[in-house]
Amino acid sequence: MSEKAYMKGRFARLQKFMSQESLAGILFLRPLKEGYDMWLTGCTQKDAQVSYLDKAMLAVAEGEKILSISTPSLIEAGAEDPWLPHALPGEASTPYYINCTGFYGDYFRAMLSKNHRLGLVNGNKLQLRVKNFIQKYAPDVEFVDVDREVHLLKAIKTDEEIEMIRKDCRNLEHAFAAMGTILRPNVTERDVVSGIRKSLLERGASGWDYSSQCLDVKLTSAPISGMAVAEPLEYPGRVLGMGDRVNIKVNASMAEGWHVSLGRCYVLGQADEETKKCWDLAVKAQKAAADYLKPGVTISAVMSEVNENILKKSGFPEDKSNWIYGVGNAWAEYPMAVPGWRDIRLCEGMVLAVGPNVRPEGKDAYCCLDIYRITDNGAVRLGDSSQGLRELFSTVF
Amino acid sequence: MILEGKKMRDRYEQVEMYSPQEYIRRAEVVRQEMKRKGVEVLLILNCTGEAYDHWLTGKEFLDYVIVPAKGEIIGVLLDEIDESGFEDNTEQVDFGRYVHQRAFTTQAPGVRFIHPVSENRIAELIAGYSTEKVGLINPDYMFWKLDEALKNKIERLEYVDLTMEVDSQKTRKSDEELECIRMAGIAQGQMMEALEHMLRPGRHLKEIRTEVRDQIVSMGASGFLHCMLINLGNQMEIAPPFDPYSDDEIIKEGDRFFALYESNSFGGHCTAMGRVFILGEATEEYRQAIRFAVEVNEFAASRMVPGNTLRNIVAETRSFVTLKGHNLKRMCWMHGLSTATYGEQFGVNDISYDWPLTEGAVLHCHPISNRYMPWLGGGAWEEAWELNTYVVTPEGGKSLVKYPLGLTEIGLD
Repeated sequence: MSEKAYMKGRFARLQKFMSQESLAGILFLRPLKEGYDMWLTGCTQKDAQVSYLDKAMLAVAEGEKILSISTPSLIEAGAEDPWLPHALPGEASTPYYINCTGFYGDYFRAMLSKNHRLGLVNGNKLQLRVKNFIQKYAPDVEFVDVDREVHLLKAIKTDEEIEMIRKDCRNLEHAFAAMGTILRPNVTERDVVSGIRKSLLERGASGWDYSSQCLDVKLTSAPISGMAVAEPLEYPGRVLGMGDRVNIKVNASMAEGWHVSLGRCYVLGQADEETKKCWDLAVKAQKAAADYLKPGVTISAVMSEVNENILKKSGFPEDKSNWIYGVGNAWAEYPMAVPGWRDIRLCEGMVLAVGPNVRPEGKDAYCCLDIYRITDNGAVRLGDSSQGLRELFSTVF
Repeated sequence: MILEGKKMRDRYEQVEMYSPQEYIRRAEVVRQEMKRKGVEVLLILNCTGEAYDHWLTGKEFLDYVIVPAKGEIIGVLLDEIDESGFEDNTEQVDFGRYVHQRAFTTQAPGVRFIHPVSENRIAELIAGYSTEKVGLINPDYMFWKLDEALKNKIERLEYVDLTMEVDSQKTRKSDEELECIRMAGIAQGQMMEALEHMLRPGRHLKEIRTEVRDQIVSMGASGFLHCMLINLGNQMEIAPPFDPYSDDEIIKEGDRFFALYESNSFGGHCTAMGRVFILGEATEEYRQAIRFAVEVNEFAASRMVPGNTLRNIVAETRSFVTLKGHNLKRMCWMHGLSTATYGEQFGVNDISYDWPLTEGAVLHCHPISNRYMPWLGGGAWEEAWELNTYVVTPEGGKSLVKYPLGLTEIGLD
């Protein structure tokens, strides 16, 4: 990977933040959680199992690279590299980090000798023995919670990053273009999801091979206007048939490394009036949300606008789920529609997934989900594909 | 194996092959160890690392599992976001607040799920079961803030480490688990058989890799998969560095391949197997090299008896290999396989390196020795190995994989 301006920009912002806050460094615990593993290293391919939740990343003030701490081994000052349970981490795959086999006493002693302030992101995931270890070599260490500030720093994307996200959005949309060959009568939902994941992988998506954690496909199907099927289903799961409505939401880590989302609705055959009406409302709700997204506005305000003026007015329940969330290198990023983040003022450069749900009682929800960039002039959709309801195998046109 | 009538987990991801009785059995295994150590509640940390979450609750990717001596087992959902803004509610679960996780119906009786509430609330929950001893699995993974909260809530707190006791029992697979392991081995073996057809000169390696992955998924696999097809090049040349994601190439007569599947099938239990294939005829020298690799593998397996340790097995295998004039690669080449991920104790260089093996424990095994290539000059050599899965018995490790170890020569006639 050659040097990227957006990576240099990220480090510069992080260094500036550390300088402003007089931090010797920032330790990112469970970096997979908000995508810090990829954000800090510039990796675009997910290569770690989510079960490796004990990794950490260390950014050092005035350091040139990130330290990627691949195991929670504690290496006493002066000691050799430990004998690892499985295999040594390989060479770094980008120029922005180096691999470290564990927490080295030497490093913390050196880093915190003059400046004792160590920032923590996801500090509640700091293991007790790691904390004690750091304190052993830096007895005066002061742990500083910098969650919020760093999440916000990450939330504002540069033009270059936004262009990468746009490409990933388009790739995801291209993968959706194949739905007409994947959604067929007499195939199981499982086979459909396999087919979708295959398309995603062909389009550069990555994950822990075939894990639902990175190739997240949420699919429901039921006969048009029929009730949602009760789960759990019996093997082999639901089989699609003509006359079914299929609702698909994907959240996938695509080729440029961004988790992008898309949600669309398909009918095998002709849609009835209820389905068309509900889908049109889902699209309208999304557009209303997008129209309201501007710098200075809060997510609460956007949700109120949609809930009060679109959903409730049409006789549907308000959607209190997390349907506006930041786009990043993990499933979701801040800001999002959760307490503590609903009321922060949105900024230019934030990129959000927007997908309010229309929920007819007892039936599968309708969700038109797309990604938007916030600009001074309002929100701009980063994808391009049609938001229309797709009727497959319909001879009426 | 009967699939009809079984429920689907996560709607379409995997078949739930384990009966409610199996989940009850697993809970009993844990509770028996708790009783032996006199603890009323057990906190399982890092429960996703070796699939304790799935093993006990049927659901993957939890933050903790709390097992009281009596009453419901509690699975604490993995936190996707900062939970501090939410009410510390341990009664209701609202999946609408997550982007990723969706509502889950467990087939494990006596299990419920809660949100990843505050450390104080977790501590309060645990304190409700015990006023003194708290059992731990994976104590190294205790979080600083949770420890503080527990110490505030439980005045005479004493941690009791149950890792070894429970891990040693967890890896002793039940009949239901063995059935899923065997099925994965069968499915992967059938995939290996299909390579005879799929590996043809002129085909693209990348295309075959994709087909292999798709086929394994179509045979029931889900979640974590390794479906690797590695080109080892010509038998007269040193194999390139092991790279399952190497660039695409067009395969040709004489190419060798390592097919490595660490995957699963119906039920999702991981099984591991790896075999060497050659497109065309092997030389007698190469056949012998792979025979030796198999001999090393079977030697290690023969040492998998109850009471022996992985450290001993590694040492004995190293002696065997070295006295034959070869080298044994230093790495973790034996470890357990879990119901949802591919790692579990016992494991080389891991906490269980010196634990006595238990009968019924399952181990994957791939000791890597070498093949000398004197025609290349100097001490040129390449790695030689195969991979298999065994169950520990008093007579030594018994293979759980039907497809035989050894080199497969794909004739081109």
